[in-house]
Amino acid sequence: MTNARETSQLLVIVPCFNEAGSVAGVIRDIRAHADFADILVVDDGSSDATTLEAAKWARCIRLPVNLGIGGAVQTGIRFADRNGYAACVQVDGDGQHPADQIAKLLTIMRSKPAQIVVGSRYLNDNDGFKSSFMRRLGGQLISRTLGICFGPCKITDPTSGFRLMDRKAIEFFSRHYPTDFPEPISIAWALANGLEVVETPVVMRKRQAGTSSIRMFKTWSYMIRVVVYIVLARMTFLSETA
Amino acid sequence: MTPSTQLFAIILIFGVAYTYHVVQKLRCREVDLYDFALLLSVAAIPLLFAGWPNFTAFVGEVFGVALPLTVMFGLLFVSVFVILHRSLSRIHRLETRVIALTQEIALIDDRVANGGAKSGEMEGRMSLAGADTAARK
Repeated sequence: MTNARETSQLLVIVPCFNEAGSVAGVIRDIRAHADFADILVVDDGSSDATTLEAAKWARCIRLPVNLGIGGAVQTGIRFADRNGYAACVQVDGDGQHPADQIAKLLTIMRSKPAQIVVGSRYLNDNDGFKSSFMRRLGGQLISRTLGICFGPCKITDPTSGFRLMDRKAIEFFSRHYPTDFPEPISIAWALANGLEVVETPVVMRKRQAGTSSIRMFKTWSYMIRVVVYIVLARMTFLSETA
Repeated sequence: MTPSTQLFAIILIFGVAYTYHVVQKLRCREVDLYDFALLLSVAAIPLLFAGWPNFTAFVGEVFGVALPLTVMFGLLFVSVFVILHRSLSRIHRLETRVIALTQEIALIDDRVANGGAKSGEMEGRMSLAGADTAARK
């Protein structure tokens, strides 16, 4: 852990789309367990009262149109980049990511030379929410593809949005962040550019409100497309001095 | 292979109507000159094949095909492919710019609303060192 990390700040990015029912609870949870961090809610053009709810409790940026989770998260990362945050952590607005696990991610970043720490549901056996069989299968397929394409790095939960990024990762993702399948592809892009990615087991919850965008047939389609994207990222993504 | 008068008339009517349509688009600056030339080739290639039977026979001989219209469709496909390729590249570039602009609008709106303050300055947050305490809990 460098001095910069000790003295600078942490930004918690909460991307939301129609999460009026859960966003206040998510912010309260973050305040209760990570009061050392700033909170930024990015409302991805919601049609409900997400902005109104979020703005009561935290700073909220509202995108004029819906960009998808990738666009919303990158907005938060750009905010972190411009305001000189040393690290930022993504906590989804649906309440799946318990804020008490943020400190765990920070501890891992301090102990390992990594730019990105991903909270994994599957690293160790725990009692938390694990998602459906199909999704776990998809996750394994994506994880193996990442392993084949980028060597020994073992990522067990590539679709986890619960992740901590240091300054180097913030600078990289503020310039390049995928809009399609952002969680696994951002890991592929990071690995392709020499960033270190590690995982730590976390306990996740079921979403508190709203529905997932990936269902039934979409799960298969998601899997296949992500695998193709990862292979393409390995073959084509132009490496820059990150 | 000489086309019938009816076929030639149909191709000619299509060519003239289509060219008029594309010229209108150029006048309204909906397409640039390069796109105009590409779009025009969709009318020009069939007209060339229908209007000059000698050229059609020559193409048939050069490519060694019994039906020179195969070559015509091949050329049309190339035309359409180039148009599609350019359109896709442009759409992708525009999509990237729209996303970046949308993000900038949101960030600037926030900056204006908060007088340029960083989140922590508003809320009087602590430093990351506070994370140590939380991690120990």
